Amino acid sequence: MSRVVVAEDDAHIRRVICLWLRRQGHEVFEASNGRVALDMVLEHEPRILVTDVNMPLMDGIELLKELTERDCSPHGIVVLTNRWDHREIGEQLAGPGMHVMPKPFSPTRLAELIDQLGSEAPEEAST
Amino acid sequence: MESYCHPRQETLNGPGMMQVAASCAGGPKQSLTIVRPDEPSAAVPLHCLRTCLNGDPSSLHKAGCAWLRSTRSGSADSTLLRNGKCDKGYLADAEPVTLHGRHVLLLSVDGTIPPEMARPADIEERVENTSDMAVRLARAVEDSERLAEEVLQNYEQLSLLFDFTSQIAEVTEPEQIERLLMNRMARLLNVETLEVVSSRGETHVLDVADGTTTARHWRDEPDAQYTAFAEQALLTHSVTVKSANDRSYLLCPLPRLQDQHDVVVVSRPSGAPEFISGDLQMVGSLLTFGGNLINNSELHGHLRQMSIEATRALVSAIDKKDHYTSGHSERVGFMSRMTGEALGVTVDQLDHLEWSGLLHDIGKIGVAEDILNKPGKLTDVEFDQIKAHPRMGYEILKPIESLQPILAGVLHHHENADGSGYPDGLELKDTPLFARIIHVADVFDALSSTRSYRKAFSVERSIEIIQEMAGAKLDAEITATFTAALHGLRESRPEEFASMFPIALEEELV
Repeated sequence: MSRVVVAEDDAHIRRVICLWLRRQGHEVFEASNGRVALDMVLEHEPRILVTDVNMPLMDGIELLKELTERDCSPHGIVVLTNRWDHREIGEQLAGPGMHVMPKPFSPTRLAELIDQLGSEAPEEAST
Repeated sequence: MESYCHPRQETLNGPGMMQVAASCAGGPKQSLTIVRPDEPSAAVPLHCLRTCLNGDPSSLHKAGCAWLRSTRSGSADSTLLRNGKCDKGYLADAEPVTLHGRHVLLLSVDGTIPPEMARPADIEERVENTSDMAVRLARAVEDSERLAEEVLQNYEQLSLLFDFTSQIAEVTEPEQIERLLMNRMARLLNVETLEVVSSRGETHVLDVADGTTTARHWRDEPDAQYTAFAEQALLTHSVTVKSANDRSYLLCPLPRLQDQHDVVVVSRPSGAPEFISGDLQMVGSLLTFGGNLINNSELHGHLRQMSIEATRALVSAIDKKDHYTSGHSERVGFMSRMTGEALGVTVDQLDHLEWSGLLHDIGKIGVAEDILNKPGKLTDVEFDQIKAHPRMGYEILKPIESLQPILAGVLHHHENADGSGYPDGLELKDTPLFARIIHVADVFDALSSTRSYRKAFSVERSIEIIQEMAGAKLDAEITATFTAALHGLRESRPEEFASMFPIALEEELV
């Protein structure tokens, strides 16, 4: 069971993702754009961030950049996108704990991925 | 003072719980908490609510309601019911609502109400408004959850379909395609059992959990009803749904060759969702698509097998013509492939190389038998006839479109590294790779076999001779690779090696 922030501007899709993740027993916070998500991540320090790419105010890529700059990226990041260049986005972002899933995503695979990211050993605390 | 309520906000607050805040103008702010019983099947009967309203909230707990609370602005949460124990509070009204198949309890709850507000009419009105609002809200939530559920299912099915179509492109054997098809279907339809019943009497049963299949005879099925409708389905071409033994079955034809079809039978236990029209459409299109793939791959296999057999028959006819070269073409084909593999030739190219080796002497079909089998020395005229066989082979095979990649090997397998070979006198650098490989294998096999004009050399002596020829006549690098690969074969598969070179091995013992 993990704390998850979901950033997605389409309310229907956000509702679907959150309903699904809550049903898996996760604690879910909803954000309708990258800026709200950034505040939520800073406040709630979730283990996992699920984010769309194209969003108003702050898009998913900017959000991830901001988080990296502040050195507070969640342990696992799942980028859900309907962009045609999702492969390139994946290569661009590639890193530990980073996963890109094209939409429509498989709910089962998303749940498995989040379970996996949630159960991985936490990184060693930096001293 | 007039009192009324209106919805202010709605938040989802953890699984199975919804909070509705209502603000009352001029009165204390209140919130409603909608509590779903943990047990999805537990009904909250109306009489329990009434009992509860009459001051015994424990009846709600007995009915499966987990807890219930009221909040009031400016004060800590006051829990009215927790694990069946009742705190102070005043329950005003309640209405049970079914949400997403679960019984949801809606309660409008009042905390401590200032005496001047506590007029029955005010409370009644407020309760009416809030419960009305809550019911509508609950229905809206229910609708949106149902839609979200459908979207989730559609997403799952779509991605399974995408997966299936991309994975199916990577398998080529009919059995692999069938297994993949069965596995994907079981997941797409969320079924408990899946079997493919064939008109040939065999059944492939899928283990839905681990994805493996086992075969058995379907007429051994002890259930007569099942056997009867499987038999019936083999005769029709449409998708049907049957029920028997508390299960519902979906039977769908899987097209096979020669206007035959198998039947895929899937089942769900009673209590599981019934099959719907969308399931039937999906199964129908998936099996038509998958069946055609299986059939095409089987046809492709038959054709391939036939062309291999026809070629081997032709090759053995050539070998029969030359009494001393029985099995020569097969061995040259085999050893060429073995050498190519050691040289790192790609798998597709290896097939071409083997065929080129197999067919390298096909042109001998045009050389008179008495020349091929002449025991003594050949005249120049006779030797010219022998030397014509590579080009003749090339001319014979040239019209066959699919054999284009093997032609160079056939035409140039007698070219020497120093340019002294035939038909074109090519030097090593101009001789195609296949031809250089086949040349080494061909010379080795000739040396290690008995010919009309001499006895066979031993394996080791034959190797010594080709090593002496390396550089001037044969490609030195290929000769070295060939020798190493041949020694490797002799060590790793001695029996196969012995059956290939019986005479040359006998010579070694002499």
